This record gives sequence, C-alpha cells and structure tokens, in this order.
Amino acid sequence: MSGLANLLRALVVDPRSRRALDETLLDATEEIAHTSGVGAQCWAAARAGVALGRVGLGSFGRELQHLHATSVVIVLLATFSVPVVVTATVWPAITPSSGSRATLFALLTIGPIAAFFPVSAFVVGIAAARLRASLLGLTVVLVVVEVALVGWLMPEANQQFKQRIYSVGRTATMPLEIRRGVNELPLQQLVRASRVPEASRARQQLYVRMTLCAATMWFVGLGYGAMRLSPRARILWASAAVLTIVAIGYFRLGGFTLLVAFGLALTLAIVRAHRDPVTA
Amino acid sequence: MRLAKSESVILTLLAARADAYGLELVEASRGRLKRGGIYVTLGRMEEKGLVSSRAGDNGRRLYKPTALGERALLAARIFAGQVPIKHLT
Repeated sequence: MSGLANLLRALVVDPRSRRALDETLLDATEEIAHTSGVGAQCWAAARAGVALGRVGLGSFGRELQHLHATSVVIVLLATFSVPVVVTATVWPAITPSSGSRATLFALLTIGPIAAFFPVSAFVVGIAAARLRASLLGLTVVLVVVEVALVGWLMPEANQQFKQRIYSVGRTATMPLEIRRGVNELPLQQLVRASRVPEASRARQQLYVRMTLCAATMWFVGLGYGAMRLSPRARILWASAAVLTIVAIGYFRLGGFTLLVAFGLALTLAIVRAHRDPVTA
Repeated sequence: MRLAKSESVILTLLAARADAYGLELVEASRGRLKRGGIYVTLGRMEEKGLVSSRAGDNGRRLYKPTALGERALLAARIFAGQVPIKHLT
C-alpha cells in the first residue's frame, strides 16, 4: 500500500488535507492488518477507499487555495502558446479573405488547444512539483476544463467555423445551416450516435475524446513524478513515458485501457522509487 | 466560542473516555461522524485548542479534550438547555 499511499500524499499540499489523508491511511492499514479473512479484508479496503475518496472531496476546496498565481500563468501559457502557433501556421491556407478573421482564428484555435491539452498538463505537472502547488487541485481543474473543451466547446467551435466558411460560398438554393459531423457533435449527442451499430466514426471520435481526458489526468501525474527523479533519470523516464503514451494514446486508439493502466503503473513506480521530492 | 455539531459530538464522545483514536470516535458515534471527515474536524479543533493529541501506536494519534474543550462543551450544553446554568462556575 506504500506506493499508493505515497501517490496520494503527493496529491495534496494543504497541511489539514495531508494530515487527514495520513491518519485515514493509518486507520486503513491498522484495520486491514487486524482483519482476518479475504472477504473481511476486502470490505475493510473498500471502506478505506470510500473514506479516502471523502477526504479527497473534502480537501478539494482547501487545495484550490494552494494554486499559486505562477502555476496559473504557466497553465495559461502551456495551454495557449503551442495551439496558437499551430493555428497561425495553418491559418493562411484554410481561411477565406472575407469575414471576421479574429473570430475565425479564435474558433480554429479551440481544436488545437483541446488536442494539445494533455501535453500542457505535463508541463503543468512539472510546474506543480517545482512550485509545490496542489496537484489534486490542478488535476481536477485541468480534467474538468478538458472535458468541457472536448465535450462542448470544441464541437461548437468546429461547427461555427464550418458554418462561417460555408456561409461565404453559400447560394440561395443551399440550406441555411450545415449539418454537424462527428467532430461537431456535443458529447451527449456523440454518445447517442456511437450506440448505433454502424457508427464506427462516432465511436472512434468518442474514444479520441475519452483518451484526451484520461491523458490529461495522467500527464499531470507524469510531469509531477518526473520532477521527483534525478535530472538524468528524469529526462530518460519522462521522454520514454511521454513518447510511449503519446504513441499509444494518439496513434493506436484501441489502447485506451493500456493508456490508463500504463500511466497509473508508471506514476506509481516513479513515486514509489523516489519518495523524497527533488527540491532543486 | 460556538461549537459545530460534529465538534460537539467529538467532545461529548471524548469526555466519556480517557483518550481515543479518530476511528474509535467514528465507530462510537453511530454514523454521526464520517471516516473521511473526522480528521479535518479534529485538526481544526486542535488549532482552536479544543482537543490535544499525542502519538499512539503505529503513528496514529490519540485525542483527548483540553480544559477549554470541556468548558466549551459544558457551555454548549447549558445554551441548549441540557444542563442547568449553575454548573458553569
């Protein structure tokens, strides 16, 4: 349990949260140790899990107070810098000369932001370790933002972008509104569409979005875990981890389960092997 | 000093025993205290000076009420009409 305990301890920075977590973990260890029988131990472990979940939920408000201004700036920079550059690179090739160019640019940037978000989360994880900011607070905020991005903001931005481009060349006989494709479906509609037996594109799109949300969570942990290694090991581990997860998560979409399992195992391994944080 | 409901329950339970672990208080409370929340409450009460703690077995902490905690509980009971006011001396 020590690996899991270390990982959980790494998540919180608020003294009250950490104390609550430590004492709940000690209670769980004590209770499981004094319980005989596999069934009773499983029951004790389940109750400990519920108690830890409750500690996490109760700690969230306090953890938010430990999001330093610097870490928020890094979040914003990491989130917006590369997507804006990517959008600016492809911008001249795909936009018409007419229309509100600033609005089109903003709409076009949402997709790269959502796609790049897990990598931004990796940078944020590194910053959290450096600044001793709350990992739990950052992770929850980033995952919620990514769910909102891939679930609703990105599809709506895609649709608006398509609609504006379509309107430029639209004639009187053409329909007023362009139909939504799978990239433009909000999450609830995409879930419904993916249940149809023939809807392989909708299922794949749903899978991509789920992968992005899961990757965001694990990349924060990986960034944080990487900072707990020695500098040389840090570069090797982080590079290998990022490359592998990017390869599995982005290019082999069937690896969603692998992505989650690998990310969890790697984060646990890193935290377990290096319990003392690197303060440099 | 105003006591929250959970603080009042903890002080009542602690008043009836010498020292207690957090988990013992949860079990004795019959559902009024939750495992995930009790240590945040105990930490807050320790900061207020209502309880004190010392290291017990395996790193777990044993809690007991301070004199201030006992008086705060008594005052809360008097305020609630559970104890006559003459006891507050």
